[in-house]
Amino acid sequence: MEFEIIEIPILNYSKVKFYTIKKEGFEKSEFKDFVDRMTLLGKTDKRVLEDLKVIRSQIKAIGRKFGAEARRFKPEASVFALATHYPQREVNGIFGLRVFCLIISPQIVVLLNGGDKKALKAQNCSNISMKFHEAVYAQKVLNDLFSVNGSLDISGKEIENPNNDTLYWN
Amino acid sequence: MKETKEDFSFFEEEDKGLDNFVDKSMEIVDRINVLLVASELSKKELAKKMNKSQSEISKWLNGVHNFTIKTLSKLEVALGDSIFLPCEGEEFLKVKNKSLNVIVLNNVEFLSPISKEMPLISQETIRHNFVVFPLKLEESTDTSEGIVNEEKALYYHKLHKQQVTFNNIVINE
Repeated sequence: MEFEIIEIPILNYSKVKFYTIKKEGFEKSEFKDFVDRMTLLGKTDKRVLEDLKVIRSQIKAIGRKFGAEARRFKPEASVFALATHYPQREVNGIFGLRVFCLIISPQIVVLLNGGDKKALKAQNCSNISMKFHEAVYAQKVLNDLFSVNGSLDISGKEIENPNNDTLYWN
Repeated sequence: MKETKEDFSFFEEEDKGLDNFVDKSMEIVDRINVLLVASELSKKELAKKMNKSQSEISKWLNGVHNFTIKTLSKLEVALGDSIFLPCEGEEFLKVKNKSLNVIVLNNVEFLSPISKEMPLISQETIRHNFVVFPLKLEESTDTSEGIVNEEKALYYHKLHKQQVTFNNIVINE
């Protein structure tokens, strides 16, 4: 399956540019899918909409002011996520929204998919475990593509594909 | 890379209160990280002092956390310094051995070229006995750093008894 790394123009800030991934045969990019699903869920659950707004604010803060240092994100096993964290809600099994991310550099982040986490560990949460595993896989795919012999380079905030190679998901 | 044509207009909406909360949270996390390094406590030691698990401490040091005033107050006691910065994100920290002064910067653009490739504040940076100033010079040496404004330049010159340059002009009393 082929895939593309695509820029999100509205999320191109002074310090960080955010990208996402669109897989062949899928109608939406990964991040668009996450935003749309959470927006829809937010219509009936105000807490989800509020969490989505917090993630929006985090993206802006990272993009405009703080840069994509690892400590701006929540580590989730071997990947990172943008998340909301309200310990007092965890007693009710609500861990908040998670959107998994790949930090390519302090200036480049690839936003993937996620969901509403309802278990302590992402891999144990039926809402997000599949998205978590896909993020882990995406990290491996992109690590290979950005390796010395890979197809992709970075230059500042730009991801480059100098030879216009087709990117394969698997 | 190709640009998406998908509608992400949700991200054009502003919620200034929430934006401010996230900004402040990130600044507080930065500050706690700095104080942790300056205190020379490990996360494990901090966890013990705070009577918390190490995983709870790790959660505080990453991402956005909605700290209570009570937690922040207890952290200040454990870390031995104020979490809230006096002004403009700059402050001198006197670390334990009192031989190092470190200025904490919020804006990494002001890092000296020498330390640009190094973490802003890390144990390694502090151990190099490095004073990190806001810098707008093109080049710098070990003993010469630039300052954001002239008033601060004079202050730092007096404090460190070192040559300080501002916009390529040497500051003298």
